[in-house]
Amino acid sequence: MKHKEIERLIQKGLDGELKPNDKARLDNHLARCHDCATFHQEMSQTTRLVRQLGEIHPRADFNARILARLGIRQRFAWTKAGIVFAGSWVAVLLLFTYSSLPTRILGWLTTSFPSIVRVSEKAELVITSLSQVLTPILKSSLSNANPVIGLVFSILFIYFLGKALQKEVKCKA
Amino acid sequence: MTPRGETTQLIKKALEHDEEACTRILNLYKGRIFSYVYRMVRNYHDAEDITFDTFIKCFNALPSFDTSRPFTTWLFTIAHNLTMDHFRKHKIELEYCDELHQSGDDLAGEYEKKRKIERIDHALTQLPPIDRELIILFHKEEHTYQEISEILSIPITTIKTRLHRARKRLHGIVQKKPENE
Repeated sequence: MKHKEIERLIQKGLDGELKPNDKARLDNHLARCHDCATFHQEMSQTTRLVRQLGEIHPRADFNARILARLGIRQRFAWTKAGIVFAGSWVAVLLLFTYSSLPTRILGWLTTSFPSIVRVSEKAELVITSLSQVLTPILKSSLSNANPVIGLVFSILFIYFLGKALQKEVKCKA
Repeated sequence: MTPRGETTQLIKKALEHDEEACTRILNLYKGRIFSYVYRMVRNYHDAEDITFDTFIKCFNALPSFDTSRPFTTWLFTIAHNLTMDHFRKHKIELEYCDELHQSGDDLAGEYEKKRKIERIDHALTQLPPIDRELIILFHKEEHTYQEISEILSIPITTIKTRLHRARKRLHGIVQKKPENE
């Protein structure tokens, strides 16, 4: 058998289209011909290595950019916003109602870092003002269980807002 | 590979502007499309732009997609057409390129699998884009001749002839042997 014919059979084998009788002819020749056997081995190895080439990925924000271009808002952003909002609500509520922590932290900062005293003084002023305004409201609200209701309503509001926005989402197609 | 039923469901949901379905489609195919495009154009930013346009075009054309056809083939067809547009825009010759006759690095003595794969990847860059594309679509992406024929819009017989030539060229580059065609 001519080497050109063998090469054709090798190519057919790599195509996955080698018939059983051709395969037998090829194997028979390869067992006797060192050059063809080497060529067959190298070709097989080359194509096998192509199959093993790794996958390359675009930048991490690829999905976000596609969805933004299509006008599709990402749901997780609203879920995250809801969690952050609810967490902040509870934290602020507890901090201003039961703790003197804001004032204590401010005191510690002003004594430990004299360089930021001026900033701290301004911050203290803001926090004290906020405390003076918020504490009475929150304390009176707490006695009426209004903050809990407020929290529930806030979560529900964010949930339904997220759902409503999802429904409004449209592909520009 | 994703079962066709799952893909059909994802497409249906994506048509209803379901963010989760769109994200799933992106996560399933962006790596394959980007790898294919990157290996064709060999420039990360260009590849990202083409992949981006591929998915935008895909989602925009989704209402007209025939679900009896394989989604992957359709997606690769879009990617292929945009890649060809890129080549045309940058006046890159598809049959031959300047890199073709540059010498490849010698594979002899390189037995580490990873290194070998890197060499193959490098050798691919030295193939003309049309040969490179056939090698990637057939051997890497494991598309059938029929699918490749649809993607490239060329007859199966032509694909077979070109693929045989491409394989021999790649082998020649890897083995640092001149082509004997």
